[in-house]
Amino acid sequence: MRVPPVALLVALCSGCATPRPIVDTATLVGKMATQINDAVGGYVKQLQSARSDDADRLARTRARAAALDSVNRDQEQIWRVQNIKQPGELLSAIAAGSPTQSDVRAGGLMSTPVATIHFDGSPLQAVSKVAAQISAPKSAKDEFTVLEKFGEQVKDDVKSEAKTKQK
Amino acid sequence: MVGSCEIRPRRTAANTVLASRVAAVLIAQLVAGCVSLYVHDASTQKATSDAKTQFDALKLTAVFDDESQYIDGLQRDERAAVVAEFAAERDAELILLMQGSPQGFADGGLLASRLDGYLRSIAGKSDRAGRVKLWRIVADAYEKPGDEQALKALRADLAVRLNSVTEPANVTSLPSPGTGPNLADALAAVESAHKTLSDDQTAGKEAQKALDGALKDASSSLTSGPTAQSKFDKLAQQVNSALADANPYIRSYVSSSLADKVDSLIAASGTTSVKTPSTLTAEAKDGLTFVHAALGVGDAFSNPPRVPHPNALASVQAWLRYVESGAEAQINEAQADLATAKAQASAAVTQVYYLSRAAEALEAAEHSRKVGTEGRDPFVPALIYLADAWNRGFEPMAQIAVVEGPLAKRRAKLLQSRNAGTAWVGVLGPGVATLAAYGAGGLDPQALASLLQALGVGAIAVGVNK
Repeated sequence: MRVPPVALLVALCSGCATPRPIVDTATLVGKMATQINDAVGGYVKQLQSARSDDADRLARTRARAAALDSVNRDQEQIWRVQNIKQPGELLSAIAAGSPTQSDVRAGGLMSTPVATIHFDGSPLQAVSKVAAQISAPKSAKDEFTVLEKFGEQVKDDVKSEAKTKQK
Repeated sequence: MVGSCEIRPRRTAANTVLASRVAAVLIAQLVAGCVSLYVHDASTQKATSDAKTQFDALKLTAVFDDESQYIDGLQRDERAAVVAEFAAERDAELILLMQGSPQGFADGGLLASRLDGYLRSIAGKSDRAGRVKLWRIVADAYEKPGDEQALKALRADLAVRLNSVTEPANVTSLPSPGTGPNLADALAAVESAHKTLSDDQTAGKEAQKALDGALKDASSSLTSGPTAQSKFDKLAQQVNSALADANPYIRSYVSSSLADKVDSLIAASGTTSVKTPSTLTAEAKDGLTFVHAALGVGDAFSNPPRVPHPNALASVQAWLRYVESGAEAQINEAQADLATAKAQASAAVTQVYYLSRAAEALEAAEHSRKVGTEGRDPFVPALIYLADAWNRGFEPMAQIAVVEGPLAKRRAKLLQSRNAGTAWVGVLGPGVATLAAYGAGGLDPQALASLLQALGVGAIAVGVNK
């Protein structure tokens, strides 16, 4: 079978171009991968900011509880020093059984370190990069390089097949 | 460079055959407009394969798992902090009341004004002066915390029974320390939340029936022709409208039902992309009708109708499951709202119950003082009831308002974000697989590209409650 050289060259070059549907898919995959990466990255930042706010709010609540508790303990101390036992005993008896937070009373754990959250976006970045490579139009040089490699591969395949036949 | 592209090696019989095949393929490619045939590029194949490996290793769920654990820890810390805060506030109030008299006994007048003020703001009236007691009115609901029927019954006759309550003179309302709704508002919120859920559920079932009918109708005429096309158009409109409906029950029923049909279609078509409708089950046929009508993927009018490639169906499936799980999350949120409303109503009932008992005990103490029969510490019963109102009413109400309610919302948002993330990965996965396997061919990348374009997936960050 004879193939005119010019037609063959055009055919070969067109064969190096990425098929349109694949380009479309790659474009959308790249776009989506970038969007996911940005969305998750932004989400993680928001979570981190919310955690800082949580830590501040908790510290404020604990500080307020500790401040109030301190005033209450002062009054109990005054009753003790004045040797007025009954009100202090009554208070303990009335409040008995109700839950209290010992570490807050002791002034401990007023603030907790902010827990950090992390997201590794490198897999999505890798997908975006490859998709961008596929969807980008190939330069003539790229096409010829692909063609050259393809040709070499065909040549190797032919040699390998010939060897197999000889054996 | 071109010169080195040698595809005419020495002529052996085998080589001649191979060269002929290559040339035939290339000519066919030219004739076909180079749509689906291409030269293999090893470096591209390696890059796409590596990208797929990396994509498969993507740990998106780790972010959501981390946040879920964090919220659990935050809940423990917040609960403890609120307990400590309310214990200190309660003690401060008790100390204030005990400082009222030189003997260290409670100040009856101050205690009365406190109880009256709290009861006015929470129940609408103080019952201290009369014989009709609020604690008896709310007793049934108090004894059955969270019971919707008891709360409904209380709401039905609260206003009437409040008319018979005699309030003391000059009562000034005092805001509840529990920072929640008053009793009437809390009871109304329970009914409102219940009604919303119930109405949405009924509408969802109606929508499901209507859609099933339209799907059966369109699917029974899986042949070409203007009549069938108009049915498909109507179905597409109905499906798209249902899947975007504000009512989560409609979205949930419809997406779940469609996802099952696409499941059947995937199971029926296996790895082949062509199947005659006569060999499809009724459910798979409905699935084919749906993907064609609503998404314009596949070709139900071709003969035989073409089933889209499994990769395209997998994307549709991921999207439908996303819509379904998003709707489920919204239903959970609505159910959590109802549970929160019931818990707040129960806390308000408990506040009223103990404040009313405290007011009654105070009146008894005042009466015994007047007649000179008071014992030691006559105000202790009233103070104990007041402490109970704090411990069992005010503090739980604050827990709901400050901790449980906001964290329930935050968990609901987290679930929605998790669902969106899963859907993104589910929709993108087949696309990455297509790129990785495009060298092997056999896929229908155009259909998948159309789908990726058509399927809108919601944002990951649907809101981060603080």
